[in-house]
Amino acid sequence: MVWRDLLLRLRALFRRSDVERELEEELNFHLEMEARKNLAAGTPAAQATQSARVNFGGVEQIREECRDARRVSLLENAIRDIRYGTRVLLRAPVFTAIGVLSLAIGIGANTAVFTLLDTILLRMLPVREPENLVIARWGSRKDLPVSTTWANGSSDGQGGWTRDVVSWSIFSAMRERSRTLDSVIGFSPLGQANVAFGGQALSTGAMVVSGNYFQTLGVGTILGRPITADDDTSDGLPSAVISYRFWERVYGSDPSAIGKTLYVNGIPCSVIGVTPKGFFGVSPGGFTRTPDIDISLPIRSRERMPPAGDRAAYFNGDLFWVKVMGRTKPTVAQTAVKSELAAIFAANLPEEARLALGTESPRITLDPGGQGLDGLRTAYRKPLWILMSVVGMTLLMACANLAGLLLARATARKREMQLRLAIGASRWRLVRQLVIEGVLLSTAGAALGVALAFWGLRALLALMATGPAPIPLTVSPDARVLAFTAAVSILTTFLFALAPALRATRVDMAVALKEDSPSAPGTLGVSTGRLLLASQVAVALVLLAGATLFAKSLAHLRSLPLGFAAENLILFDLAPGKNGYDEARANQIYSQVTERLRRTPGVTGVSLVSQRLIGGFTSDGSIQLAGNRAQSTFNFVGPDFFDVMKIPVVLGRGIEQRDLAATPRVAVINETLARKLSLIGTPIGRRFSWPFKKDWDVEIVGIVKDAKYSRLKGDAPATLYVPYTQRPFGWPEEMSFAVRTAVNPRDAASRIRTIVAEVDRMLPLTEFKTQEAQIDDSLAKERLFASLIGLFSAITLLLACVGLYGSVAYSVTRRTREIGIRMALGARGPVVLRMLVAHAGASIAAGLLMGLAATWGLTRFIESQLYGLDGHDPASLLSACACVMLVALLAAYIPARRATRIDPLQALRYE
Amino acid sequence: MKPASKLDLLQGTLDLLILRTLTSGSQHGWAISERIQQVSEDVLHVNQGSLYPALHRLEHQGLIIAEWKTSELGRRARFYRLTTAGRKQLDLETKAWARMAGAIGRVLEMA
Repeated sequence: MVWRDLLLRLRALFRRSDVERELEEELNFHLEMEARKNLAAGTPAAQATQSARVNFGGVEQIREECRDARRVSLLENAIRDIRYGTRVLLRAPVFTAIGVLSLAIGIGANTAVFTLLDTILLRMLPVREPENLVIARWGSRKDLPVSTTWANGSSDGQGGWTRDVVSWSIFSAMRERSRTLDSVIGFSPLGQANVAFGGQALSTGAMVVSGNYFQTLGVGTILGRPITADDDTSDGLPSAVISYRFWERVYGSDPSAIGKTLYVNGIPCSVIGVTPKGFFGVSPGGFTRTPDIDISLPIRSRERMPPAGDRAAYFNGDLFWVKVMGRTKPTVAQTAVKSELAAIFAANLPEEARLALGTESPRITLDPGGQGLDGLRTAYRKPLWILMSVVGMTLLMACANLAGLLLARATARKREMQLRLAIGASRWRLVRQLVIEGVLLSTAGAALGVALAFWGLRALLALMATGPAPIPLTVSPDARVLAFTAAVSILTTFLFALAPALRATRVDMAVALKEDSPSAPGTLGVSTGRLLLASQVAVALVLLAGATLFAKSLAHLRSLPLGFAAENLILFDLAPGKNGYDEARANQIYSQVTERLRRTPGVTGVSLVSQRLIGGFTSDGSIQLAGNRAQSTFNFVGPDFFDVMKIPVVLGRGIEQRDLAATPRVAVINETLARKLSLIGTPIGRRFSWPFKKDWDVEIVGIVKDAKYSRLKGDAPATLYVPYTQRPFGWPEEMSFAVRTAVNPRDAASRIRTIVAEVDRMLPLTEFKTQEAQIDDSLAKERLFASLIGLFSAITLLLACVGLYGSVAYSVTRRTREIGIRMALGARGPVVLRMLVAHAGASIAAGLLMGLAATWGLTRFIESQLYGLDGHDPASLLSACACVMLVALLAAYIPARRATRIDPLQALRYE
Repeated sequence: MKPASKLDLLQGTLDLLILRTLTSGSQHGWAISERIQQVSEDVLHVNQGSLYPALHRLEHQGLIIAEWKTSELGRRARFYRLTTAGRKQLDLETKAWARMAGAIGRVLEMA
């Protein structure tokens, strides 16, 4: 009969007025019957009703007992508590607003950062058994003379580098011969490809994949078929597998897309399949500069694709370009895999690299691949965890703050509590009432927080979308994230509401009744309150110190000597090759644009460069000079490059107008490369060659000072500058222009655009920005984290100040009579002020000490993210300390000053 | 203003009396209380008020069902009647009561 009970209870709960009315009617009926009986027995009419009531007993009490019998009181009481709690909170709008807002900021920030962290660091690829996938990379102590493309290097922490690309022959050998891996797949990004279909064109990300890619990943197609081993051929039309998103956007989800022809970088491909929604290949977030992978082509189609000067190098040559992943067998140890792959790797190295390696055996590293390539993760892991800790601390602060405010309120509501306890309320009932008020606050905070998180995420992503490693992921809070938020808000409720509730209701009746006068300094929760204040100051100091360190590190990065002049310099890219123009036309455009710009008023110099400086990318390879072989970065530049960039020529000459395709081949090296080649003294006139280019000698004609190349951090690399007209592997399909202006570069922008349009209307001008903006973009990650941590530390400090302000203001109100007496007895304003501020000052001092100790211990976790200073930088710590102290004292001083204006007469009358 | 000679009900026996009273058909609250008074020949003192919480409790336990019907005087009244579960419960409790009364009686006689 449980259901019947439940039914009645629900009815009692939701049809309360009906049930109450019925009860009323039932009891009235009884009383009437009784009165009637009394009348019949001869009782006078006046007494009949009266006597019936007496016989019945207390009507109100019976009614209450009937309600109890319905046993809905728990729920009913909860609802009553919620109503009452809402009223209580609405009666103190400032308190409630501060509480909800600080919780919303805390919960919102945590939700936003957790969403990002979840997407970037925690989510697995939507493939079969992602935990068995590994990414294979290699490294060696010696610098191997190999040419790479689309390579990512990472430091192995011991001065060596690991690289993530191998040559076609190494990959093929691994795929065929590995017995320790279930299967080995290879792939390579194509970058932003020009994709044409049915008379339209767009630019989107593409990659090439080996025939066993889809099968190994266990990813099928929702339409058509995936690329298979049969596609590993250079015959016929390459097959193209498109992403769900691309299918939706380009073909409007039309099933007849299968069999259609797409032109990828001018190569016709046949669409054979559509991957499931949410699958974007093994690199969620794409590759560098290629955020959205929409098209996968068979790996063999690589040899037909521009822009690769020497296409043969991909499959017959020694170019390292294939990225490798494998699926492990559960029974085979990773060390076995590593040694097997290392052996295969060494055996298939190009001749020269094998010679250079000598007796050293190369290292193979295996990293978990279940989350896909980890470029984004590596870059953001540390910063995201730091940020997560920071917002976690902000939330803790919001809780501490709220706990402090609730504690103060609980003290103020002591009388209410005493009264309710005295008339028989159980302590549990009062605790529940207070916790429900907390739940109301945190629920409102969480709701507002999720809204803030949505907004904050968009802002975060917009901030992250600049710079060399944009985050293109589709990031939005999902069920997982909302569960996280819910868990966080429940936890916070207990943190901030339970302790004050327990304290507030722990009232010793005897003591409470004795000391109950409004001016007596309450002892309830004072020490806890001070501890809370101190810890808030401590956390504020930790965060502010962190923010100061990050800001200083950023400023340090900005002030690093570049080796070139970044001011009044405009950069933009032209890619005539992508428009399908041939070499002659492209070269004509390069020289015409240069020439026209040079004659423009306000422009003092123009040059071209294949990799813009501080753009995040380098080209590198090895060169052979007599017996010396050296690894170097290189850059292909136009005439006057060193003049325009203001890189001083130390010896010989720079690249000039006369260095054309047909003239003797020349190059300029920087000092580091000169040292590396042991050329100090007599470099000019020496000749070197490219390993992959026979009969292609280049004469060194000059030495320039070192200048930073792709990034700000680290020393300038050894660099070789070659005229772009003398590129050893084909003509450059795109170039960056560098325009030095006499005036503010912004003023020249429109003129530059006009000129390019006049030379060729069809040629879009891309990546148009000043060199300074380029440098700023390269610091996007650092700037983002510095400003976010700065923001959260400011919020935390503000919260701490609200706490301090509240506490001092409260104690001024509470001690009004005491202060009045003191002043009546002759205490002057400043003395009273000192007394009150000193009270807060003790908490502040304790907090600063705690904070300093914590900062000292915690900053080592962020040291790897700091540049040019360590985590114990005394100036940063001191300035943070001073700032927190000043702001905190100010927050205590303002309400304390009110005390000095207390009129003793009024204060004594005040009750 | 009750005569002092009346006995207060033993704890828990009110439910038993209500269930027993309802075996003769559905009744409203006042009728139940009258009936108990009459049958017990005014010896048992049933606090009229305390009847109602007991009725509501029994209703929740599913032992009785309440419905609104017109009373003998033409007024709407809440009538209670036994459910099958109520009959079973009455049976059980009657037996238990008899056993206990018997046992207590024997103990008293022995002494």
